[in-house]
Amino acid sequence: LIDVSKSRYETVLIWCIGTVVAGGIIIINTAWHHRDLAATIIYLTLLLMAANVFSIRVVIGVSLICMGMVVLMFFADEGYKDWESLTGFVRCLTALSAIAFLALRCKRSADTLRQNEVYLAGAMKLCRTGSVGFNANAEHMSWSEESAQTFEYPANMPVTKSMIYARTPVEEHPMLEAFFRKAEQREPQIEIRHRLITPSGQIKHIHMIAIPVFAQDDRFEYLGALTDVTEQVVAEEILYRTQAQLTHICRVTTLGELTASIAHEVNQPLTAINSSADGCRRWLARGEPDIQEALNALQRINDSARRASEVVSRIRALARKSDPVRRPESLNEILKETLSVVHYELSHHHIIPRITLEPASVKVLVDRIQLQQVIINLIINACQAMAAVEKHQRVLQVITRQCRDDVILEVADSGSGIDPQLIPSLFNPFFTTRDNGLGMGLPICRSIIEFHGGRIWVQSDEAGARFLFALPLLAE
Amino acid sequence: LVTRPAIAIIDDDDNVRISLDSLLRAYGYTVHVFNSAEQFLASDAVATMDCLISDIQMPGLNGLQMYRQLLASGYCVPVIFITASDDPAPRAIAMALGACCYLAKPFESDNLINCIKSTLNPASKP
Repeated sequence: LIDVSKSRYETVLIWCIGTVVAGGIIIINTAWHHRDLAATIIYLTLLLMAANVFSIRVVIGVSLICMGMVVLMFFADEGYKDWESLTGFVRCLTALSAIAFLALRCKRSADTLRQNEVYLAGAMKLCRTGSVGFNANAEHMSWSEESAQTFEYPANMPVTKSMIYARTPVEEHPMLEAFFRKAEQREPQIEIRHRLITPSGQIKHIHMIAIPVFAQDDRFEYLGALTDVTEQVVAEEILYRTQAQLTHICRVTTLGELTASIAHEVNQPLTAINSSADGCRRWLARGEPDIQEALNALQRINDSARRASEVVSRIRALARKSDPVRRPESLNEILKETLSVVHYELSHHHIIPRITLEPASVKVLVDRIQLQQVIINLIINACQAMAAVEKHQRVLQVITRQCRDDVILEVADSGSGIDPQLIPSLFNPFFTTRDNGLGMGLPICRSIIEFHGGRIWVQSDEAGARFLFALPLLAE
Repeated sequence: LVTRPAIAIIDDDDNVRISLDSLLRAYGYTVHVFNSAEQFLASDAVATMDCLISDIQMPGLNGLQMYRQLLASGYCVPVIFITASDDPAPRAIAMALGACCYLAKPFESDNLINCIKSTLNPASKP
């Protein structure tokens, strides 16, 4: 906020004027008839200039010297002999002392104000925050040096709203317009996050919160705190990307565990296609072709091909590396699709599935693939937890139910439960009780559920373990 | 008049079961289909089949368990196992139990027909 070069020029100028004033004092003091009033005026000038430039001690010194000079001159001129000179002397001394008093008070307030301003500017620099002052209806704005730096404009350039628009990508102009519209409506606090494109092509992310600081009928001024949050946004993006990659790697690893199931699900329709095609050829090659049998066989070929391609699409969707997209989905539908992926896994492990679905068709805002990943993980864990259980006692319960504003999915096994000492560590990365486990399944489940604004927890007793997650219901 | 050999197909997968039924009928066999081992064991067909074609992985009783029950009950019918699983363990068990053939899905129809022909008496070839 302090322009160093400007204050240097001013100091030089003040010293020049000071020299002129000092010269004036000497000349006036030699002139017999103008000593009293003229000298006082020049002392006052000197005093006010000193108050502007020097420290408070120097100002006190200068005012004492000036008053001393007036007294000295009064006695040197023997003014006490003349009634008019005496009253003139008293007038000058009173005026001089009163103005010295006011100058000192102003000096003290100005010093405090300047100090506060320096502290404020320093604090803003430290927390990388600039200030912006604006009025909803006026084109002209004001801002601090820090804000000008963020927008990469010269600090002394008069700032307008068009300058802000000029640095903002066109697609984000509506956001800015909405921001200023809120200011027009005099909202008590307005906020915006948008991007800037600097002249060098660099992209910055900024965040501004503004509150009204001055309100009169025709004027309603906002003061905003503007922060460059680019580093934070970039770090968040890197974290998000890394997490997405890790989630994908874990998903593919889980699919690896399901290869036998996948092969089974594809081999069934392939068998039907093969047999139907050969059957069809045989029906047609007869002496009297059986067209209806052949047509039925062709229909089965179509159906089986569709089924195989559905299996492949489901698996490909799970294996695909894509950013999560949250859409309104039915949790029951996602569960049914997931069960078709792990269907063979269950029958292979002689597990009896018991599925209880929430009757109301409730919707949640989720990424379908990520949610399937969570359910597959929980089901595979449940299958493994029942490896030591007698075949006909392996029961997997999957339940969806609504609970106030949440929908809960529960995966319960009939294993021997989890050691209570292990429960607090279950969701920690790299914690595993399996020899070949990576220990990332449950931590990824938790990060996915938390990403969707939900929570995941576990209950366990000697009848088995139950993993539950709750997701917020999508408002109708 | 030549009696057509009777074959039972036991598979829980609808499309596979119906396709095999059609294929074998096209070859002139008499075919009976069952969607589970329990359904087959409860039927009258048990005593009259010339050959069984059974899936291994099925809900409830699996193919191997069903075959064990048949052997225990004194039935000695040739069995061809078909499975979509790549697990090698059931093959060893099936062959040890005396299964005629063990085919991994998807298989060539010719292989299945050859299996059936070799298990049935050459005189009863259609």
